[in-house]
Amino acid sequence: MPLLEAGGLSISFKGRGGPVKVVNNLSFTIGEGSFFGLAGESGSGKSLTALSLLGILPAGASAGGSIRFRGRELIGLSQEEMRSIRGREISMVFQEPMTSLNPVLKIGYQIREALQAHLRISRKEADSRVIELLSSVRIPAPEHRVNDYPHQLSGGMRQRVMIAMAIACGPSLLVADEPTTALDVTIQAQILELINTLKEERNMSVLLITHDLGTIAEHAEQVGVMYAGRLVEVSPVKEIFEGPKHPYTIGLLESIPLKGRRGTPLKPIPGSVPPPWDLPAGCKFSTRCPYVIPGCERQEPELRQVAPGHFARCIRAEEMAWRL
Amino acid sequence: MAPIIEAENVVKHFPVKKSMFGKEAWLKAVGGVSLQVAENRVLGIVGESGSGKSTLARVLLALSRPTAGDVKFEGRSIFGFDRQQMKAFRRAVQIIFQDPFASLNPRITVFDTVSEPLRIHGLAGRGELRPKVAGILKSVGLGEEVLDRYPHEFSGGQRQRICIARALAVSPRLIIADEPLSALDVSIQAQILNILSSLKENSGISFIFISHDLRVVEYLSDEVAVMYLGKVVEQSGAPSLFEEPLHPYTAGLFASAPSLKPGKSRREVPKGDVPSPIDVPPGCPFHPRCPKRFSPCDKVVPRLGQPSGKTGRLVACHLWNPY
Ligand SMILES: Nc1ncnc2c1ncn2[C@@H]1O[C@H](COP(=O)(O)OP(=O)(O)OP(=O)(O)O)[C@@H](O)[C@H]1O
Ligand SMILES: Nc1ncnc2c1ncn2[C@@H]1O[C@H](COP(=O)(O)OP(=O)(O)OP(=O)(O)O)[C@@H](O)[C@H]1O
Ligand code: SF4
Ligand SMILES: [Mg+2]
Ligand SMILES: [Mg+2]
Repeated sequence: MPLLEAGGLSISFKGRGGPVKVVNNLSFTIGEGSFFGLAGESGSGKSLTALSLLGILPAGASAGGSIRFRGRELIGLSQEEMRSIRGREISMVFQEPMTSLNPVLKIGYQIREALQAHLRISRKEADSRVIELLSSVRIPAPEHRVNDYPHQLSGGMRQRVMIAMAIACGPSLLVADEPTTALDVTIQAQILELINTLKEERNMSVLLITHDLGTIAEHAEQVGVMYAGRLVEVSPVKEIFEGPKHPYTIGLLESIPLKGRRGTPLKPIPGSVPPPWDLPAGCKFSTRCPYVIPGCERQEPELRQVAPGHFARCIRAEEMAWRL
Repeated sequence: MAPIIEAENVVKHFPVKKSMFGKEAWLKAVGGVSLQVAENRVLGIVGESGSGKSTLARVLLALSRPTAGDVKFEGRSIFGFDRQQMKAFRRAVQIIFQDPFASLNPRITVFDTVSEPLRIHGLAGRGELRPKVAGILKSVGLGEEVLDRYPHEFSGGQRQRICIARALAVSPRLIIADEPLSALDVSIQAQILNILSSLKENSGISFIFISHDLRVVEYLSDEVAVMYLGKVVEQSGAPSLFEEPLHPYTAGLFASAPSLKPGKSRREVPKGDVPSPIDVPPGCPFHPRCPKRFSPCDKVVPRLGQPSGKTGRLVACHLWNPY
């Protein structure tokens, strides 16, 4: 049984003219101890998907379909039931650590709170766990740092503290939504290294959302690419980088100025993503796709298996021979 | 070739309150930077967040006065310009910012946005304004139908094109682009990159291109300056820099950018945190994180100089220049 299994997951907002579906019929699985990287256009629904796994969708949004965690259905659980899972079984790290840390509380206290929210342990035990956690996220001299307030830490250290809080109760799934976008270039690499090490040490699964395909290539085992609220390609990392099957994924890879492309024009995807209420019938990428044929506009292609373990939502997937 | 713009030992310090007792300290945002940009060349500036790139850009644009040092435009100090000269400078040097959402006035149309600098500088008569603006928009891939629309009707990439069009309207000599791509999707970045690189080919404009994305800098720049804690630590022609980074920080920066090869690659990522620009380490600013530091590094400030046998390259590192 996979650790997490989303089936036909949809997320809608109340709109003036009825509900607007922003995430549509998402199906994917995250295995025990595996690293899933989720990429895709801005606004394609990555963050909402992440939030739905923790049961913390914004007001006005509702999820349908199914999210099974260790076989247990999460959609429809009460707030209270969800609270016992959130932070304990599934936890999350956000892009901007400053907004999720309380500025007036010492970081040691905040981590202890995260521990005591779920675990019945004494104050003394919690205190020593806090030190352990801080050193496991490679914060030097943790016994001194516990008394620091968030503003006394660098951006990279704050993100380490957020990770310490997220792993405090030993979750089996860590969801990280663009955890390094706000950080320095060299610090980004350190944080990803850390997340990967913790994953290995603790046999924890990771769902990493990022628009940096390089990061995904380096760390992820399984990759999902989203476009207009849909998964358009899901595959093991090697296959998707070595032989992408969906034109949108190909377009993303072609957009990156790689070594050797200097001076030669890049091949951007023409146009931009249509808004959720104005999507074309048929394939949602058809208005921008260089491979479009009349059949594409007739009905929306299924996300189907086109090679072992490799899924793509394109009627022409088998013909795609593009190579990096 | 004479440079268009030239920074001479530019220093910019900001006063900050350091302790609760109100003792004043200085944040050394830019610590003595010299660089030049020649006609029709692209200078890329890379570095960590907070290394002083935007602060330097503001000084180059005369939006902020340096604490020390000077900026020369076509050989003359921009801080000694009279009104008339400053007006000409404001026309010759344009800026494109990171956030195309914040840098367009939501209440004025695309036509008004792009034609405004033309009117301010009296560069087109009433009758020619519209065809002229349409022509500029066309050069960034936007059609005439956008003229009477408002910024909110456009996507991020389209808005950034409108910003570029506005900068182009006055036929500038130099465009300073401060992270012009980082708010955009990868697929849209490529559209803007193509526009910038064709402008470079066809317009004769020079660029200062600030970015933390090494791939983009490599793609577009002729020269690259690498900044760390307010200083240029390495400067060189782009191909040789990317071929063989000399400064350990440059090497670390390159190592931090993952490739697109699936799977782990062993890379030497710099350890530790970036120090605060209020407490810049003594000696080489990079020494606390440098895997190659040796005896002089924590004491002697390395000078930016050309290592022997490395023509056209400048490095501030004791490994390369005898101290
Ligand atoms: N509170 C909200 N009310 C209405 N629509 C929303 C709300 N939050 C998000 N949306 C819409 O839902 C869609 C998906 O948003 P989401 O934040 O999940 O995108 P994303 O893939 O995470 O994008 P990004 O890469 O920019 O973070 C977008 O079209 C967005 O406009
Ligand atoms: N007006 C100001 N007052 C005080 N400090 C400032 C001011 N402007 C910039 N700084 C500080 O100067 C340093 C350099 O900032 P700057 O914005 O130039 O960096 P940057 O290299 O552009 O970074 P980024 O990549 O994050 O844009 C930072 O520590 C910043 O906080
Ligand atoms: S189904 Fe057709 S339109 Fe859609 S991505 Fe594939 S080729 Fe393009
Ligand atoms: Mg998001
Ligand atoms: Mg900046």
